[in-house]
Amino acid sequence: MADKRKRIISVLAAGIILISAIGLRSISFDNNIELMLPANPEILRSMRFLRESNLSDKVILSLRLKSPEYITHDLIQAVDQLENSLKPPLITDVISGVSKADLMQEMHSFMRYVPQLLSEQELSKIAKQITSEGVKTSLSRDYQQLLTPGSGFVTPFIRSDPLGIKIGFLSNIQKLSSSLGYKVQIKDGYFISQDGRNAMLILKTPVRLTDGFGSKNLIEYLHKQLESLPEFISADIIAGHIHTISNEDVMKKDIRLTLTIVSVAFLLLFLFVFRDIRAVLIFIIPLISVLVSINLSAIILGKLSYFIIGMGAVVAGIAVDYGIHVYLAVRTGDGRADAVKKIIKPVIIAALTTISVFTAFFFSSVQGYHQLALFSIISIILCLVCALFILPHLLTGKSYKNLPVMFRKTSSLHSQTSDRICIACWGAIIIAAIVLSRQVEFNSDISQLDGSKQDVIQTEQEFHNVWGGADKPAILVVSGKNLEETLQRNERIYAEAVNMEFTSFSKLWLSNQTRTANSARWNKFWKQGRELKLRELLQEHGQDYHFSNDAFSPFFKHLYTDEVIENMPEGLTFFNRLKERFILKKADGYQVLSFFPDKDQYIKALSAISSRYPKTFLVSVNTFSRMLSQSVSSEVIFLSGITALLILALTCLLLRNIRLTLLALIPVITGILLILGIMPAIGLSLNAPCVIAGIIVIGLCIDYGIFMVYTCRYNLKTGTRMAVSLSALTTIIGAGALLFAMHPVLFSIGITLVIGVTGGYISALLVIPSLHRLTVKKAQSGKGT
Amino acid sequence: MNKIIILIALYMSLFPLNVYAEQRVEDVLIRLEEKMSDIKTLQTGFVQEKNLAIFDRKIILKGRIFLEKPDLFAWHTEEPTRYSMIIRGDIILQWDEDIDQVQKVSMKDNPAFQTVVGQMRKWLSGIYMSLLEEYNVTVLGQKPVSLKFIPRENTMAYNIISYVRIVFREDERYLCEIYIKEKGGDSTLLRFNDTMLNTPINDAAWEVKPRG
Repeated sequence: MADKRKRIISVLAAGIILISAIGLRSISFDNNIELMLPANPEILRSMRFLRESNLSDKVILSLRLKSPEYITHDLIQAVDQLENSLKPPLITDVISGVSKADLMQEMHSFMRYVPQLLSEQELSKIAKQITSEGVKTSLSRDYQQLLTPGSGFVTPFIRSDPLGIKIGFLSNIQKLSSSLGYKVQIKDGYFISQDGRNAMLILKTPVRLTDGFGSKNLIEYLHKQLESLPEFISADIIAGHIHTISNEDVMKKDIRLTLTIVSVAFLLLFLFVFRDIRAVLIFIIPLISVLVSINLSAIILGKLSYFIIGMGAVVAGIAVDYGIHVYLAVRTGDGRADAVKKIIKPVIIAALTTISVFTAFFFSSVQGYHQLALFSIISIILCLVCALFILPHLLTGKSYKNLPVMFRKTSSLHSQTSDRICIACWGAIIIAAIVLSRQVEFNSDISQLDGSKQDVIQTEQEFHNVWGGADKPAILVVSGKNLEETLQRNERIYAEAVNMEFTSFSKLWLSNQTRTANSARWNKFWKQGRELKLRELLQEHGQDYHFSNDAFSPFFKHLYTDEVIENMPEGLTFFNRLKERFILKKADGYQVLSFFPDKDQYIKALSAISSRYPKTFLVSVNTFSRMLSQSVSSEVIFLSGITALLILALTCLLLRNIRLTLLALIPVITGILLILGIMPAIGLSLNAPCVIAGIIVIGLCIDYGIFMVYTCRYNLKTGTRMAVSLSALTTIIGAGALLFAMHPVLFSIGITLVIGVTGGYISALLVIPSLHRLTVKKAQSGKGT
Repeated sequence: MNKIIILIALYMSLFPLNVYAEQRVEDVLIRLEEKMSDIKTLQTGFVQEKNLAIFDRKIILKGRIFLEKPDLFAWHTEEPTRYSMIIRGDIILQWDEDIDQVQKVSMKDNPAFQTVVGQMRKWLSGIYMSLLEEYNVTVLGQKPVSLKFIPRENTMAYNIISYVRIVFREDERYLCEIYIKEKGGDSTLLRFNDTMLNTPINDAAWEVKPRG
């Protein structure tokens, strides 16, 4: 009967493992970092903006001449060849530069819109130029420019703009074009580096950064196209998509590595310590639990984050504890049923406290924590059920030999002196940790969580060395339900920020309302006798410089603006490129962007301006980092508070004794203080993943405390010390495996858990019994006498 | 049939000549660059004839050019008006006797000036190897060396310049004459005289406003 039951359970377990393993293949994983961010409206707005604006979805190719024998012309030929090979659906547009020949013509034709763009103040300045002195100065400059050998390029501009009224707009176009800070020169219409040895292509792709599969396809496609480049050309791909792929690769490798280390270490540990093949069951239980939990979580949540799955090894390390306690109780206790009965209460209490820690995560605004909580709670419940109700049945029918003495026998040679020495040492360590913890720093830089491989980072550094653009500007975003409304708001902000280093689209183009007003003002301005006056002055002073009678006829021919176009100029490539950069079409309207240096002084000034205008906000990496830091800090305080309350309440409720509750909290206090003390001592700072790991440490250490307090109070002989030791050891193995991880998130979690759990475990094993003897027993004996 | 054979033979015999001619352009440019590569300073007089439709007559300009590597350049005219332009890196200083004021312009802020200065430097440097990317170059003569530059399509110069003809001095150490023919019919002829190479340049050459 028992054998039949075992067989059924074994077959069921094998079936569940198989189905779960197959299920893993159909789960869609997500490596979106947003999952790990607090739901602060400003943080989410910035992240959403960056995601939806496609600013980071663009791909840049940087081509380099490897051999000095080749010249820029060869590079340009390679750019042409590559450009023609890049096709939809993965690449929808390639920008390799602007034809300078076209640019000159385009700029010249754009000049006709300038009267619509000049403000009243600018007209006042022009009025001051229409004097004998002003015209003479302008003609003198024009004359000297026309006498240089390169005059052919400026003649059309001078003929249509003798006073240089419109020349400022050429400068604006130049400033707007370089607003992203790349050091680019246009050579034969191509983006070429200052040294002429590199060319740049900007690719548009519909593939989003967060789309891991699409990113892989895109980068593979690009690598394939780059293979056809000549041997003397090397190419680098600069794209957020590479980070997506690299992070995914690193994370997958880490997961494989850590799970392998954990599996091997667990198996060796159990086989070496227990020398019993059935001990493998203890390992199989959390494995099944984690596998099933991943599937169940995916069914409930739809998508799972890689970060959460990376925690699988840690959760396995936590969940294995219950099996260890049950196994050791069966093996060292007086009888199977009796032994399991004795430890059922502390095991359930331990599981409940751990669950309560993860439950606290549901109160967090971070979506990723919710996933982690659900995944961990399911794993723990499954593991608990298996350990308490299935494992004992599988351990029957075997007569166990006694375990080695070192695990079984607990020291009986405790004296008050040794207890006091132990407590004094613990006290000294705690004080040292408190002192060191004053240096702890919280690092909120989101880029530290980027686990991209070194070669990706190095390629980007080389790219910035050649092209600049490493310091990204901050962005002021102006939203509106239609383009006209948005441009009007943008103009008002520009008027306030005009004296700052502020690159606004208003420098180049204005709303229909403003242009109509400007145009009317321009026409009126010239009709008030100024046209005639200027004609006369040009005639008079032009003779001094031998200008012909019709030298400036193009200016007067197009002097009056008959119509104001409703939206934007058509057919001007440079204008369309700038429009794409500064204006975003959204489902519910438009966003107009302005760029400025990401420095405190500008952020402060523009935040003040932005606060006066609804539907505007700033996007700044520096501010984002600060906001994130503040948000994570308040999140940590909030979660720690909830966790502490839940644990305290639960422990108090289950132990029904304040003194014992305080004893049970010793490992928690020790673990947390050691994390805060050791991290700065070894040169590490705290980050968001560390905080999560810290909260898990609380959940684990309270278990050790509860078990040790139970053992001390009821003098249990169920192998609790050994069980606690093995529990801690398995967790440390699970977490220690993460120290081999390349991904910074997993490494941070690993180091925090190793420090916290080690500290918590040692204090549980040594300090609780000593303090129990010195305080609780003394009190009891005091009552007795 | 015989005619076809003769034509093919003629074509075959001309083909190596074409290759030879192309090689010679590069050879000539390399040779000229080598001869001019050791020039650290240059001071030369010039006479420029400008035939522009915007003017009612031919303008004849006389003046001096100073150049000191790596980034100093001065353009002073004495006739018909006194005008000076000094370029130090990215900054241009201008002065003329009519206005008598010094004007400071950053090339970054003025694309038109950037273009004008770029063209001046390009033609006065005498280093034309890099121009092969922008121009088709042919050798018009060997003694003295004379070159013709025709802008390639899709370049900035293509819509403006018809061709540029450069004549070198006998010793090939510097230019003798530059002629620029524009597509609109305008033309510029610049002749150099009293050219001195690698001689110290007086500090006054870098002053935009003449002393006294």
